[in-house]
Amino acid sequence: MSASVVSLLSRPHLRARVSVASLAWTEFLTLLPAAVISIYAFGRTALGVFLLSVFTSVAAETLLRFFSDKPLQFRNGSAFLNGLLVAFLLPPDSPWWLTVTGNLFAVGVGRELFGGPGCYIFQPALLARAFLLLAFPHTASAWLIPSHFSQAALLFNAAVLAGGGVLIYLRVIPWRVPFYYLGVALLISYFFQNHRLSEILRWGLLPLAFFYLTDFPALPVTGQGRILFAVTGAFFTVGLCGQSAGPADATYGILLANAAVPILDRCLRSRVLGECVNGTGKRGRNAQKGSRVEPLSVSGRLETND
Amino acid sequence: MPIQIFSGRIAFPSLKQDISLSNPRIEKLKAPPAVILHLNQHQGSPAVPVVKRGDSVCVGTLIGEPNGDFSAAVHSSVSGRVKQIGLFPHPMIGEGLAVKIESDGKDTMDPAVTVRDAGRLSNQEIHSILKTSGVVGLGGSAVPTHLKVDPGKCGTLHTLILNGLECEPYLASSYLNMMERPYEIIQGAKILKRLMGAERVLLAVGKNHLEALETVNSKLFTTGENFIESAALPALYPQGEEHRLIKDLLSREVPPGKEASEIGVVVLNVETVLAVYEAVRMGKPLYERVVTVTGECLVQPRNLLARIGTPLNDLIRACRGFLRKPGRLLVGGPMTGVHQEDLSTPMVKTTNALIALPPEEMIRDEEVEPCIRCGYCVEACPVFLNPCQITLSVEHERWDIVREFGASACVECGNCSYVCPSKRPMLELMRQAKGAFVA
Repeated sequence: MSASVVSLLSRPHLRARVSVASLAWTEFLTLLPAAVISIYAFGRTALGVFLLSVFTSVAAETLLRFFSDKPLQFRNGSAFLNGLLVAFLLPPDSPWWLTVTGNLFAVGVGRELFGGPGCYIFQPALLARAFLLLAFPHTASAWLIPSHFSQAALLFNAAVLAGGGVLIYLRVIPWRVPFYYLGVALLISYFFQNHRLSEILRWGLLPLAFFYLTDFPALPVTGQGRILFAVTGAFFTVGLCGQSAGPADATYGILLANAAVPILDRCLRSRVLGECVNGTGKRGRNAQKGSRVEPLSVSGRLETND
Repeated sequence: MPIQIFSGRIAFPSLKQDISLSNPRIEKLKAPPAVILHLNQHQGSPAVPVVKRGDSVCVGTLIGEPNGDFSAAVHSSVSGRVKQIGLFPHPMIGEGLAVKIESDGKDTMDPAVTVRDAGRLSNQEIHSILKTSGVVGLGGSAVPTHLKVDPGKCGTLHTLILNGLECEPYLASSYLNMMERPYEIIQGAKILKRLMGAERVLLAVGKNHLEALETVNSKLFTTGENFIESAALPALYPQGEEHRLIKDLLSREVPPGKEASEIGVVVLNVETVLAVYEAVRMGKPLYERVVTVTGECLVQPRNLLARIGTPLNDLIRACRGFLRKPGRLLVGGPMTGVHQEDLSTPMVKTTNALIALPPEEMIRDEEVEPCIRCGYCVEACPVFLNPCQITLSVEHERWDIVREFGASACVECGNCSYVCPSKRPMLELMRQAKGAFVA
């Protein structure tokens, strides 16, 4: 798709003060406190992983776009965010080549190969983690999310929760996705699989729900679709996490839900206003909402229209 | 400040009413030296000129005859001499055939403009008065009113909704008319109720304009009338759009692409109702209207009762000119208006506002980014379409998907463009999608 310029003469003449860059940078900033706590928990090597990851992500994207003659876009922040998201999924003591490989995969295959931001199907950071897990099973299994029950883990989850809350308040992420994902996942694993809460948090559900699951391109666009997507993701996650011990399996759970997005988008079409109305204009699932006046009593005689 | 979307409607950060109402009165603007009266000021076929160069005309003299039934008449708004009939710039369609009349400054009224007893007129007579007075939808639709309220054509019309919602920023003409001329609006509604055979008349006003609702209600009380029910709806955009208004007010839905009269409802702007009253009772054809000349870039924003055909130049001069260079000069509201380059363009019947938008309010010349599928447009669509999927399909020329997602229901409110973080030209793509439906 070629980039065009907004015609100055076309209406509407007002635009909301929101941009792709503002969305990505807000998400980046709200994720930073969690990163700081991770560094506090895992020490100086973790700081190196974060810095190298962000740097590689931005550099890889810039170089790839430069050589494929696409407009550079590091200013809009999505590459920075991607680097941060990949870093959380890397082991605290990961060697430099693992960080670099992970980011190259996330940017090159996860994002650019699908056509860049907005076009990818799978959340790139999770795709990169899946790749690393398959390629280097022993090196890549741990991650930078403090998961053993400790002060750091509590702080970390609190920071993620606060960040997620801010994002929902600012409407950067849709509230439905983390709400339904966490709700269904906690319900099933706590009540039906009898896991302890600390164990469930160890799967990294909070950061996954607020920051990985809500990546827009890998989400359905409609409200219904998003609810179904979140529920699907939750089922896959608890199905995989609940059976095996490894925390890694939540990755696959979300990737599987990502794969369902195109179907959800195509099949879940909301009813357009006035559609399937049989002349009386009375039918409608939204008929009761927001009405101040009772429906007309004279509607009966209008049934003659088709 | 996050974007505020409420089930297909958006809340603007500011409605900018303080600017438009800094001078909260309707002020009569004296006739300009010359007016340019377009023959195409309504939906349907343009009027046919019935005057020629050099003819002398009075205020209210017919100068353009309706061409067939789906058309409206055009009348002179000044007294004077026809100077020229030719192509002139048109604020909405670029250029059109128009009659230029030089004013003699005397404002002689046409003898046909006389007070009538509306109660004695038959429905047939009222209908033909509406047709010959050139009354059209003044809220922006420009549909000739005689077509909207004709029960013979549309079947039973049981409900009349007076639309007093002004949900775009800056607009104030409906509000001021309700504040200053409630009696005329009530009487106009009475005439229309009888003409349509309506059982219910509702007045819908935005919650930001509750005092207008109170004014109309107290006038109803003092005149002993009680046939109008009133409702206050949230001040969100596009609450005043016909389909959405009917859904939220009556819990009924109009089939996509159909007229509201299909389900027996007629929605008329309060200013149109006022014009109906003036046409029927005072015998006054539609030759003047209230236009809100506003915006941060004007020295003195005013609400002017101006003659149709007044060049924009004269409107701006009446507001003592520009304070600074406007980023954009709009005829109509900021969501639905059209940018004007040429100040000699005249106002038309639907011109409810002239807005000198400051450069900082205007969108910058930005690069369009690809869709990130954020879903804001889906949330903001008042008719529950999926603009994201539809516009992407238009870009990839997948007309089958466009059809499947029912793009024809689009009401072109522009919400999808407003909320898009990628600044994609959503509205233009949606219009292309609608075009594909027709073909």
